[in-house]
Amino acid sequence: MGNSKRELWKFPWGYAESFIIATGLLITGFLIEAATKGRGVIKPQWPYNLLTGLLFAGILLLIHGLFRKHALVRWFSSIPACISSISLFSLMALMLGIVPQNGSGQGIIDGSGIMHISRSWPFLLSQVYFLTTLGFVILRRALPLKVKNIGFLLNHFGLWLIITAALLGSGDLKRLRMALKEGDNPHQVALEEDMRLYLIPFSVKLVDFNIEEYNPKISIYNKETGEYLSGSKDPDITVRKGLKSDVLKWNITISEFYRFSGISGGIYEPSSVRGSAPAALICAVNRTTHDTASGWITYGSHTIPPQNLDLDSIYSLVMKPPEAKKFSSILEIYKNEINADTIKIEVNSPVTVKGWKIYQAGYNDKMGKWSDISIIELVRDPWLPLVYSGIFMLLAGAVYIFWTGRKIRNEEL
Amino acid sequence: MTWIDYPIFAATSTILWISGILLIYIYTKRTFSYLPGFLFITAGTVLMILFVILYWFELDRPPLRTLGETRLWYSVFLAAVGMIAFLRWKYKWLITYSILMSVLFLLITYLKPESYNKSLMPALQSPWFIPHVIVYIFSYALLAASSLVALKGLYEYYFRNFNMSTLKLADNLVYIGFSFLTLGLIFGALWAKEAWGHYWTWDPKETWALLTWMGYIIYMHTRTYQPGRILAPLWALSLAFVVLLICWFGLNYLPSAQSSVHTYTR
Repeated sequence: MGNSKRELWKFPWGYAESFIIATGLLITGFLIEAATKGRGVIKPQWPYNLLTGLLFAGILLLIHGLFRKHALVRWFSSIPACISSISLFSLMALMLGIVPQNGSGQGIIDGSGIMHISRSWPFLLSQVYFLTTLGFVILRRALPLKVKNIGFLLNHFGLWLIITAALLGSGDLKRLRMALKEGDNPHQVALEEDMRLYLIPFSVKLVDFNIEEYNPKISIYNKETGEYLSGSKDPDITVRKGLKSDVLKWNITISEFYRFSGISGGIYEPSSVRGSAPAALICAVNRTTHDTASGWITYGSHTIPPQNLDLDSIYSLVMKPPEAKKFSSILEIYKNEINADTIKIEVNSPVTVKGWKIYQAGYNDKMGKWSDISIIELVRDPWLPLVYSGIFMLLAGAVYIFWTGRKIRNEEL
Repeated sequence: MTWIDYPIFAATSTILWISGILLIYIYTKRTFSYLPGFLFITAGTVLMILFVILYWFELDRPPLRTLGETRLWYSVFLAAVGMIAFLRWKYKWLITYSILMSVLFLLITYLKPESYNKSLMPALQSPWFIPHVIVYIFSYALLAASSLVALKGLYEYYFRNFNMSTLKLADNLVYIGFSFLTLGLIFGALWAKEAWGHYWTWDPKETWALLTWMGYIIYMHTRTYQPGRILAPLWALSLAFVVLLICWFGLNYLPSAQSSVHTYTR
């Protein structure tokens, strides 16, 4: 904390002044939040966000150009200011990481902003403080530019660019949802996060929705406690024909398994009609009493009722719902009335159309395999290239740190 | 190769590792005196790598999904980090620590496998999956070693003579560990953009990963500002590791975790 006999607020400022300023910003932020009744920050949109960004960078440049030798400006690019701003930013992130973020902005606790930190005033102030200290230190190292500062600048300017662009760009970020049904006419209206309607510049039609599933698992269920026993060391068994497995005190054999089956007169048969369900014929022998239980089990579907196999008065064998392995949609995109492009989207492989990235988001969980509804997400983020530029600088900076190690520090001594 | 073979592999590796450590302590004064011990440790590590590879084939997906599986990688990397540091600096205590931690993690994984789920949900089926997790685990292993150095430094400071070389070793580990931490964070962001539509959504896991990152940044900057200071960086480094542990294990117990996309074990 520097020299403890030093008078407070006498330049050069150290940790004490820096943390007092950070605390002041925190209190100010919460006061503004309370005064605005927890409505949060209103994000500027194009072109006002760009103007805000240019103004901010311009002010930093101007102050650096005119007063770089002033003790206050020196303080801004000092380590104590840096650490206090990282600490303030981290404190806000800590609240974000602990308090569930689902606040609507009503009531006393919500009004404080801690349930929607990411759009609250104290968070904004912490970011501006962080970007200011980071900005001044970048300018100090960048002007004039020297080769030995490249690594430093890649890391610091990369981070500055990411946060600035993400912060300003959030006003232009659009994340829309659309629920499409097989056979419906093309849709052009999507829902925003706040449920407002939004007209996209093309229309989308769902041609086909597809799910691939893993084979289902079977597990032992305790009817008295209502719990599965899979939490213990006994694994769930992934069903396949011919499988033999020892679970608890039973020897289990799966003599038949149909990936898709229908039921008629209590007998399961392979079937591929809509609503078919996986079914397995199971024989379980109790190793001590030699009691045998056998029969079909199925998780069922919207047309077939679930079927369990009772092993004794307490335990029963249950099939769990099959987990999705892959799901995808074939879409037709109409940019005009006549021509349509056909695209396929899948989880982890979105497709870009006219600046919108189209994602496979979900389906009708209740129908599972037989869902004819596909939920897609449409995202437009015009500031992404700027954020990515920052990300790639930071990436290069990380490689630089790995390569040079603590040589960086020795130079700074 | 299935999970049933795990105890045999883990036990054999443990025996090889512990024998290696003992050999290193026994033969100290001859030429090539570390070689036999080092070879034993290498054999133990290679065996665990072999298990991971064979288990990967068995699962038909990389064993990186559950906590139990990441612990397996952690054991391997921790042993590897200890070995590399030993080759470079000959720190006996560091390799002892890494090996004991590896054994501890193998033991935890044996008692609480949490690794039976064979299926991989669609969001995890991405080319980013393997680099994202491996880079993180490698970084965690290095940063764990650095935090141990910090604890050793604190012990020396309060009860023995503190030597500045302790902080320099911590620097080495932190700089390399931090660069991998940054890669992990960035890979995660790029992957999230492809899988969930946005590179950053303040998901609790993301938030805690950022906090961990910030923690190590604070350490590095306190070192730069006043390289002569001892206590502040040592405490900063110890604290940063606590944040890392919360990010890795503790997150599931926080109220904010309800909405996380990273809690795959439930």
